[in-house]
Amino acid sequence: MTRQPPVYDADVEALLADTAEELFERHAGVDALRELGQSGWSQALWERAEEIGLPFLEVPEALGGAGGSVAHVAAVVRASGRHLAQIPLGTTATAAWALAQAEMTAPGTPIALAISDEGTETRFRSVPHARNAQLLVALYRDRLALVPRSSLNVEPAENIAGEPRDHISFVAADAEEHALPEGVREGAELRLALARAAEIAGALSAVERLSLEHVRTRVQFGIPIGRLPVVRDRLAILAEEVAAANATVDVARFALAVGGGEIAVAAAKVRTAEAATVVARIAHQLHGAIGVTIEHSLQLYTRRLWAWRDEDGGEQLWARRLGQALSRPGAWHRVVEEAPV
Amino acid sequence: MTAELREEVRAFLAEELAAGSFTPRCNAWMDGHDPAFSRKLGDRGWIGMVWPERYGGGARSGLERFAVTEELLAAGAPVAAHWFADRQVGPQLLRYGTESQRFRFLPPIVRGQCFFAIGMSEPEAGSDLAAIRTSAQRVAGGWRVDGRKVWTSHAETNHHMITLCRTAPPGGDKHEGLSQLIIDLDSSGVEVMPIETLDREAHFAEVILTDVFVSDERVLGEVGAGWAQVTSELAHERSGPERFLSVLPLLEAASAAAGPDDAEQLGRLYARLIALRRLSHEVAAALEAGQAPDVDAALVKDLGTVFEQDVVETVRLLDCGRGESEMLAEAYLAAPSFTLRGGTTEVLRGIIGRMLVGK
Repeated sequence: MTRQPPVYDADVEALLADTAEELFERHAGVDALRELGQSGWSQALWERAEEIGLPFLEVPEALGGAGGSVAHVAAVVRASGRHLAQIPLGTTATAAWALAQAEMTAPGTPIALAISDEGTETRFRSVPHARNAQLLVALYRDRLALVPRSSLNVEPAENIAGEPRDHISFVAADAEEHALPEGVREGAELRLALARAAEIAGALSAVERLSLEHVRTRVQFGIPIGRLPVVRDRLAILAEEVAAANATVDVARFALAVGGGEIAVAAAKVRTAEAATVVARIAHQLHGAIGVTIEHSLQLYTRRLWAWRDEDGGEQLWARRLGQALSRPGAWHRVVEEAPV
Repeated sequence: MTAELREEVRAFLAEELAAGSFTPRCNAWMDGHDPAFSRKLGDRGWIGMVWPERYGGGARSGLERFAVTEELLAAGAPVAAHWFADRQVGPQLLRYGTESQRFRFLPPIVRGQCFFAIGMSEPEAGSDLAAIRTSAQRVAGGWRVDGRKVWTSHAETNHHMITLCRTAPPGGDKHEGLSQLIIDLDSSGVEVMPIETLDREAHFAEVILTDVFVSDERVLGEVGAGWAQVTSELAHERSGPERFLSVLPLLEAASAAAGPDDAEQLGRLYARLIALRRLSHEVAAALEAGQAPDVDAALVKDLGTVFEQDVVETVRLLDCGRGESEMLAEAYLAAPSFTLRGGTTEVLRGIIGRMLVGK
């Protein structure tokens, strides 16, 4: 790649975090999601996110983006996970980055992204938000294909959280093919995995908050259950998992920002997925029967956690990849160098 | 930056390894007691790295110390002799000690010639540390100490023991009336009896103190403020890389021998390791910034020590672990202590839970 690595700026990130927080507080969250009902799509949320430039943070300024770093993207996506913001931020940001690598400008609309390490494919399953996108970007081995929404056959489908994960197909002749610079497909894969890990980390923090509120107010045996030692033990484990998951996301977003990043991103996807399992289990246990009702907001997070564990590569896949990369002498040195803390 | 420093440490370790001066082992910060090796580290400036130069220290940052300790631990180098002096005693002397105590102890610690033991637990005071009974009675010019300390690592070989004792009877608050005294382990009235552990190691000792005179100059900090002084150092004690790297030599050896069938399990371990490195480094940075990240430190220790035990169990079941039977056995027999020393899992989770929910 010929481009300079984009600059990470902590002040920019702080500003960005505030802006994103404000946006998601206003347009996302439990109430907003419930109001949206079955479709789950908020055009207002997307338009505001686009206005602020959130999907184009990692696109160079010359191509109409913010010229920021993937570390910024991950920070915003983590906030979106905390607030249940149901827009394709991670996929659009990644697609826009891939387009920029091929010297193309992304349209200002949601983009669906599909990746295949096989040759040309014209069918993809479980593509996030395909129904809401105006464009499909498909990355094959060394090609980038653009397919307009009008040429896409979209069969609506959902993950177990009810989020759009559509099956799509198109006719090869309708795809506009471009050469894909080396490393972009792998880079896109890592970006998607990082974004999913960041989203999980955000949702984990939200579940921690919900669980704490619950144990402070739920009274049994005459006291708030949070005073029971056995409950505190569970809470400590929950908090540890949330901290560990967020820590790996931080390692990964900075590692990927400076190039490489496979080890760190793999660790983030594995660790967040493992934490999702433990945290969802403990949170439900603490909430009792009220937590398994559709009225309670806990399930809005836990169903997503369960789904996201497996999306963009489940933890077995990434763990195997991570383990393979480190199955050789000098593993420690590699960890230190490639996943700097 | 720390990358260069890591290279320096790695080059040193490679030389020492080639010269046969140490054999990598697990749990080396506890079991690898080698005064000659500690002196070599002292010569390099890797003990007391962060302490002020006027006491012989390196005036380097806590993050540089983090890099050095990580590399030493990962290599399984014998660092136990100076470990407690470097980790706890130095910071305590700098914070609470008198100027003459600092000049007396810090320079020889830095040179790797003065080693400390920590005298805290007693037969009736484990997790409930404030229940200690070792007492110090006021006498002319100092104190007379009587009592018993247990689980005092390296009391047989090390020179001094920072001893928590009761200088006043417990009033309404049992945390009051405690003080820290620096006891010379060669003093008359000090009897050290090794305690053999299940791995046939003998770093543990029971220290029996009978009418031991300790001069006023050897009181650390304020009389009666022992509890606050001891707890103020817990973040240093609990958050460092030794809480997740005790068995890294085993993980490293298993990784070098791993085949495709081992990859998933190894990958899961490394994902946890990467999380721990970040969390521990964050605590080191917070300490560097003068904060007191006690809860985060407890969290690192709990996650880290359970991780260490899981490394041993995982490698035991993997094909790549079969060639490492000696190191595996060593790690296996040391593992029960990981989640006990420096605060048990249960105590740590109590601290974290209390912080989360409030009293």
